[in-house]
Amino acid sequence: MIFAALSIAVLVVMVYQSVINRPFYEANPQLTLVGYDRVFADPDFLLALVNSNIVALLTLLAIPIGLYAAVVLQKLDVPLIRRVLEPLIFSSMFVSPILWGFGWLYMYGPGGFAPRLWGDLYGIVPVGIISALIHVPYVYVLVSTGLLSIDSSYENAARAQGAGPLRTTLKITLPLIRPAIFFSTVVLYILGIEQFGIPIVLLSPTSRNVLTTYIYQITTRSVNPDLSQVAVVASTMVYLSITLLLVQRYLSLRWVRRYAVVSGRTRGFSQIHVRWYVALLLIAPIVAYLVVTILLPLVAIIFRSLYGSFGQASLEVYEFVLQQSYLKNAIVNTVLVALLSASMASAVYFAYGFIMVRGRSKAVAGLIDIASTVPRAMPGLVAGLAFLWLFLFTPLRPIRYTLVGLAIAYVVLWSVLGTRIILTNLMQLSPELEEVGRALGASNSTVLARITIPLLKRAIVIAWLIAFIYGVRDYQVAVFLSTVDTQVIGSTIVHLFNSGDLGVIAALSTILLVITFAASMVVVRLGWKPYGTQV
Amino acid sequence: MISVDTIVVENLGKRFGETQALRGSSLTIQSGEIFSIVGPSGSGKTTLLRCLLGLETPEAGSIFLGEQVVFDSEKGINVPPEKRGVGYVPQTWALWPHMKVRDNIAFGLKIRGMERPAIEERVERIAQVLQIGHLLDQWPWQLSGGEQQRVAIARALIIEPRVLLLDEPLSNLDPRLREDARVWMAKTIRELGVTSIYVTHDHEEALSFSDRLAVLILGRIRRVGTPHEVYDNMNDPEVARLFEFNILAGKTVREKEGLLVELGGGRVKVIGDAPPGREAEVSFSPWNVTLGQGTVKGKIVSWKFLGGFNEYSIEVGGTLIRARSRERHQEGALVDLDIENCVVLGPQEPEEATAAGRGAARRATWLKRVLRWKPRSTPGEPRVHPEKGNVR
Ligand SMILES: Nc1ncnc2c1ncn2[C@@H]1O[C@H](COP(=O)(O)OP(=O)(O)O)[C@@H](O)[C@H]1O
Ligand SMILES: [Mg+2]
Repeated sequence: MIFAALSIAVLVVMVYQSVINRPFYEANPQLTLVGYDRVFADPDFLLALVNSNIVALLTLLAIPIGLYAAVVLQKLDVPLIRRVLEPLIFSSMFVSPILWGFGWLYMYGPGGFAPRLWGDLYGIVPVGIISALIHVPYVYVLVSTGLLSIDSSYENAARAQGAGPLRTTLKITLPLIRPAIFFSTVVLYILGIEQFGIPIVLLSPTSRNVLTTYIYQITTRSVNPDLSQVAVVASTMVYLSITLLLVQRYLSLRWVRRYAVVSGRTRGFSQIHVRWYVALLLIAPIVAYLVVTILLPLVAIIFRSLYGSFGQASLEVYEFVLQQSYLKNAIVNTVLVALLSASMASAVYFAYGFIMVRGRSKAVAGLIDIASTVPRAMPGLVAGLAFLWLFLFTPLRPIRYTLVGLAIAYVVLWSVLGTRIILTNLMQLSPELEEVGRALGASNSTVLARITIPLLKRAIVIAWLIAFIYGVRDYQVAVFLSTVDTQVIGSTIVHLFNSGDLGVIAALSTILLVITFAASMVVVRLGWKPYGTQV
Repeated sequence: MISVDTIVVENLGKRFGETQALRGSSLTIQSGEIFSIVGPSGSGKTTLLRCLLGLETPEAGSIFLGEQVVFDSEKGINVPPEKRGVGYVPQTWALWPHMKVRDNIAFGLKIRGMERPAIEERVERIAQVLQIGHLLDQWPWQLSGGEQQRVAIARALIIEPRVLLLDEPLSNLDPRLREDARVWMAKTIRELGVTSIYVTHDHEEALSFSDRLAVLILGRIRRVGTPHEVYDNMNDPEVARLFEFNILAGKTVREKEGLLVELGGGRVKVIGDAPPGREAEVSFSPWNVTLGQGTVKGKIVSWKFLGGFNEYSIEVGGTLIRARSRERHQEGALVDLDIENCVVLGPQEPEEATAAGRGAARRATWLKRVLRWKPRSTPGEPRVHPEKGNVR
């Protein structure tokens, strides 16, 4: 309940601050839209707004690629290849976005390992295109979800009438997954607007900004930033995401009925058998994509940490990292805060899911639903700020100086996915399993401890691991929320980037990469597939 | 091992939003009895069981388990499920997949803090009685449907419940196994002597299984009695339809040998009372139609061979009836019919008939209340009150 309240409070604080004329913690604020007037008159802001939308639009380029990959991998009769490629696709979704920025820079940027693809990579258009390339897995997941839920009888009917596999796919299958393609558009647009990791890396040598880097700049530029200005910019981003999320919700409700087959129950899934060389030809571009855009940049980070720009392989950087106490602390803090937030998160998300599925009150369930989804509308950077204000200027102040504050922020912010996982698993659990326990003499809490929780063990472990990964990979929330003592790897990378020590950054990034990849492999091994979940 | 308790349910009412699942149901179940509740799907059988268990909270009425009041809407008593000591075998059996059979059965004792050796001994004993001793170390998913059902019953019985509630326990079984399972279950439960309430939508199951049965239709108990009492005096149209009886209408005549009804040009003696010279409905079992003798005229419309007997569809005075016989008759043949054990149907309760009828009845009650300022009552309803002698 406290967490639910917090998740709504952070949003409120941000929007409230944007419509008053002085910091919200001071007395007698007046409602005014002056902040908006001023910000919208600022050419730098308008430029950033336009740039953000350009990036978001370019990000949509991920749709054709992801669509292609999903149709080929799901529709072709190639289970083995799918089993090899999917874990890679899934786990790449967990890589911290800031690592993509560095990975691309080290691989394809000036002085990178590969010949240059695109000038020097600095600029809005490269940011948009890279953003598109790394978000392909999201499209893959959403489209696959659509594909997997199509009743095969629709396709079989077309085949029976003499349509070939290609025709069937183009004329029957693709139209049926139109909702999934539309959702991908919305999700990608939001992700494009929220981009911070790639822009901060690839835009800082230029004078260009997107909304996130603009907020970062105006907040860090002065010791005493204009809260109202920051809040207006942040709220503008929130309005954008909320609008898109609402459109998505509204349309999904309408489409559920119209495309009943797409979201209904499945009666088998038809796959197409082709000759091996055709399959190879179709799959080759996907493998090439994975190698060029996913694998190589990540490998480049690791190489960069070992080699420097030239010369011998050595572990020098790592020794340096371990000698510097602030870097060592950051690593320890990252693991600690991730453990803490994952443990809190699995408890909180379980409670959310339990209240929503088994709770008696519809109103409370609805409230929890909102509380678990609303934070999704806040870009991490904005949320970090909102939490900072909430912690600084309310009785919550003491936890601001501990890792607990950071962990709480993580739990609140990324509740959607974890809660969904618990929710879907709990919904599949027959209430009779619990009711029999009650009849046998077990109290509510005994039933919870000995029946419900053990039965959901796998879902809870997965939710724990995902929360852990989110905690490890964060760099946005911590940028504002961390104090000197509570820096984590992500925020340290952002701060270091300003001083430009690329070797140390590469070493820290490698450590991040290893932890997240290991954890995400466990998640995938546990059988988790992101299908059907909200990204 | 079985405690002796009478179960009394009085005037139980339960509503889900618009649906009135139970409309003032009352029952008395004697200790040691196997009591069936039979009714069509959606009639409120599961809801009634869940109210007995304490999983649903009714809006009205009271429930006694022995001398304990476990629910009373007026006094605000509602004992939680875990304090009622009721054994429950749900429709899906609901064996816990994360526990082996042994631990499933032992759960009820473990949470009571019983010593390990004592638990082991009790589990072994009940497993022996239910013939599942060899399954104790398996996982639930390794068992067949019939075995799962036995485990579910063992798990419910191990706490020595005051009453065992079984919700359509055979409906999830392969039809071929159903007959065996029914015979085995009836025998086992009878030997153990545990008071049982057995819910089913299958009237044949209810007839063959129980000491007494109640017929539940649209949330109301329409009939209570032994299988013979119910079957031989089918005087309620809804119950007659549920038991697949024939229903015909004809004019009643009073003769010196008793009440007769005119059907298909002939006359048949009927059981029950009705004013003579009026239209009345009668019901009779397809087994009680004798072909080839009697005064009623019928025409065979179709027939099918069902193994040991034939089932005929016969037109009598414009209405189709079913008749069962071992004899052979041709399609299209005119036959004489004799009907035994023909029962006059009582008046249909207006409230039950249609939604419109329900509305009308509600309006009528409302009018009565406004005019006479009397509390709402539901007249003419069969009500079984707790016999004081049985409530200790
Ligand atoms: N939890 C519930 N919410 C809403 N309606 C319910 C619920 N449980 C039962 N009902 C309704 O109550 C009526 C009786 O249901 P039930 O007791 O399950 O019938 P039966 O077990 O005889 O098939 C049905 O109309 C059913 O739709
Ligand atoms: Mg039922």
